[in-house]
Amino acid sequence: MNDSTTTDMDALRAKALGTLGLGNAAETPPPLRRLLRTENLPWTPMLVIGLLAVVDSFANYAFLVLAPDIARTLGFGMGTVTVLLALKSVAIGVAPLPTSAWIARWGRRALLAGLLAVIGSLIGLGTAFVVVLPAIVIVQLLAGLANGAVSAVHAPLLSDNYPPAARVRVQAVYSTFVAAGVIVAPLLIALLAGPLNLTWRGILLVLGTLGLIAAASALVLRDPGFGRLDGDRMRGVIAESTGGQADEPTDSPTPDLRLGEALRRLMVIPTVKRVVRAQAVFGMVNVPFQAYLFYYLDDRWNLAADQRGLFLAGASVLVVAATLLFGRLVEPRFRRDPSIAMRWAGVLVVLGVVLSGIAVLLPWFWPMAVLFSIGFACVGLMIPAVTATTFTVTPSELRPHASALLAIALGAVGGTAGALLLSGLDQQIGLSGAIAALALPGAIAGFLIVRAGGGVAADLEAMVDGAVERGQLDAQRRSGTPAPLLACRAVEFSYGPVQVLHGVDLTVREGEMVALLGTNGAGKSTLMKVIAGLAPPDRGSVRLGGLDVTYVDAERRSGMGVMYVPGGRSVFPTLTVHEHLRLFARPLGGRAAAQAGIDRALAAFNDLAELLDTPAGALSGGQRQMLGVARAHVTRPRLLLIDELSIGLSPKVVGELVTQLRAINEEGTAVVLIEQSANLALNCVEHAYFMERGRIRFDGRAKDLLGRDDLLRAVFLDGAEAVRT
Amino acid sequence: MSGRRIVARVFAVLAAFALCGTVSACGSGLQFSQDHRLRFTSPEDRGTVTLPFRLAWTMHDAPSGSTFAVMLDHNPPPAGEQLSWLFRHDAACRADLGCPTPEFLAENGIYTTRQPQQLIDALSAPTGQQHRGREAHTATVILLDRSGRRIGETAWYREFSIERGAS
Repeated sequence: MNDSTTTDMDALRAKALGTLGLGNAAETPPPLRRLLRTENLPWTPMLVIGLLAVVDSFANYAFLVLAPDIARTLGFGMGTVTVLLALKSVAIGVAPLPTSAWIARWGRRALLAGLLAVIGSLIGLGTAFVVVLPAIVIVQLLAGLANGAVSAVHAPLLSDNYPPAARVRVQAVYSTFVAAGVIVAPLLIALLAGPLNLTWRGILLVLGTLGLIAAASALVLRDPGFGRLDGDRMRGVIAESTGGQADEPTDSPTPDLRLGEALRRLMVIPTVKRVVRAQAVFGMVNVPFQAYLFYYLDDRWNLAADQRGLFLAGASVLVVAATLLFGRLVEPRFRRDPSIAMRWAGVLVVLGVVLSGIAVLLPWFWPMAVLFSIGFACVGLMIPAVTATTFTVTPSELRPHASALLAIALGAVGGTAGALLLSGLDQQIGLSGAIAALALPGAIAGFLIVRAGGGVAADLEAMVDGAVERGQLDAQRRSGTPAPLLACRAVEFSYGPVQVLHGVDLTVREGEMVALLGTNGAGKSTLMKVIAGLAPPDRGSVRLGGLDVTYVDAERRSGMGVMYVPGGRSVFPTLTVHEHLRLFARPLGGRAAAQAGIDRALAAFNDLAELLDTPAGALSGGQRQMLGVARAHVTRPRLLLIDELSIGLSPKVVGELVTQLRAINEEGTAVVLIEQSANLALNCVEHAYFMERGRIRFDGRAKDLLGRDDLLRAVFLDGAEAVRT
Repeated sequence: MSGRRIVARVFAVLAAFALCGTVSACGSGLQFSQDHRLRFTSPEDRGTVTLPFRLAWTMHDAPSGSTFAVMLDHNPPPAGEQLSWLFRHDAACRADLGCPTPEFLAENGIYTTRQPQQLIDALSAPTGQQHRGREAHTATVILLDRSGRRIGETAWYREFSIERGAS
């Protein structure tokens, strides 16, 4: 790549980053009010989703506070309440992923947000009329499911309603609403139980009714789509820069990812992976901390339930102020360096848990309350920072999944681990000691958050590169160049800490046959697995006919015409040859098509016709390889990947296999052949790649590679005889 | 149908259900407002006592023929149930036709009385609180009818702490 091309690419990347509200060091983002006015965006989504968050806080808080009264009325003990809360936690952990899958399939998040608010309020109302324990179990499970689902809806929906330049502030405003719920809920409950003289039933009835009224506000919400204000704009800028139009639909889309594929896609983003770990560790602290805190306030300071609620409300006032200030302070810095929010948040978490730990050891109430509130506010800033940063490095359509992952890590994984590992700590070292001791894992979570910030720039770069690459493919399409059958771009892959593929590019045109050669351990087989969908890459892309299949799983890729034949390991030892052929033919659908496929395979490999009832485990190595290759005759894939065709086989068998491979290729199937024998491979193909230590060292005509002794010296030059026969 | 119309219809149906539920609940015996007929006079709320001590209260408009049941660190049976409901899983008690006897109940921190007071002379520390500095307890009073069944959903409770070893 020459200097001017590099400069153009850098400029394009900078432009693309600018659409994400990032990379412009000089420009300070305007105040939120002016930004919304300029962009002609309404406040209503922020206010309505915030209001729904407050209602959600009410429902959660109300059951916690009223549980002893409910237990007295219905005749069950606090042990049952604990079980109920545990069941609810499980439901909260279970709900986000199906919700994100639902969103990926149906969209309609505004509708879902409204429905969840209605369901949540109805559950509150329903609880008010419950007279038996099983009914409480059901409503609390439903409450947990609704509560968990909210985590996959609110924050991503809010993020798609506002431009990236306001991302930190918008998430901060949302967190402010959540904290406001914690302030208002105990005050409201105190009002209803005190001057208004209501029992728990009356309180839940009023809160449920208020919730329903608030839920009605969701009627004004509109579905913003995914990435309209960031991803789409970025693609538009790239399209304009590559000769297209900003609103031109992309021709190189990503197929909708299934739930598992989406999660796998997210977990290869280092920032997301690290944030998930940090959230899990923080969740371990969070659950026992909440339990200990209420006991501590009761035991150490003799605070009754309503006083404990007021204490929490008072601490949350500082959270509200700190969150709003954090949004304003961090947004301009976030624009210059998107890792800054995480770094600040991590440091503040460490500070917060240390201050809280010190606070509980103090012998004076007010200093304890002040120090604790400051600590609480510091820790409270983690959520908007982590959410805003995670969303910035996550493709817009996967933000519900990212939100779900964070919620699961925090609640289900971390919470459960915390309950199991740390809940008995108070009996060992006392309540104050237990809370102070939680500062240690809390600080670890803080350090993990700081560390997660370190990968943000690289992840952003990868996201922008993906968008630029897509733009270039669109530009190719406009110029009339067809997309290649297979295009691997800048593929990187690691087994744990060991990176085995380093920016590998590989292209295969329709009907082409290419050889992939290389030394042992060069990464050839790993690259095949990446192409087949068995190993999701850390970076880079895999496109099939222009369609981005990088994170599509192997089963779906098989349906798209990709067939992978691992040498000598492509059969099931206990199945007979006939059972294999029937299995191969299954995707063909109709019986006639399946039989035709089997007949083609048996015509190609006569030996197999005489071994139909023989288990594959009893076949010779050559026969097993024939059976593996026969699959291509049955299904006629678009792309056949063969890993080690000739290894351990006689020249006669290799010759027969090569003949069949050519026949398969002549029928239109593109073939990528990995071979130890350079002569064999290079006599079969026109185009060859040579890999060494995870990098492509040669990409060109096969006969040119035959002249490169410097590359081929490590590869056996045998097998030519078999090809010539 | 648009998303907003779906939400509007669901909302309307649910609101109607909620209204029906509320109206029907008014006559169902469910208690939505607090009952202040009983007031504790001792010990103080969240006060500290030493054993033995007297739990006392005043009551007005008590149903005729009703008795009080005092439960220490026990949740009461549901409305309409007898105290024996609390021991429905106790095989020894179920095997004994007379169970629960007043002695058996007292051993479990449960007393019945017609007087607005009860002397408490023994009370074990609740499970899990032995290690804590303050030993917190809850006394709950409910009303029983002539057949020993709980009247309504009302329960009055008082939290207090016990200081062990003091004279």
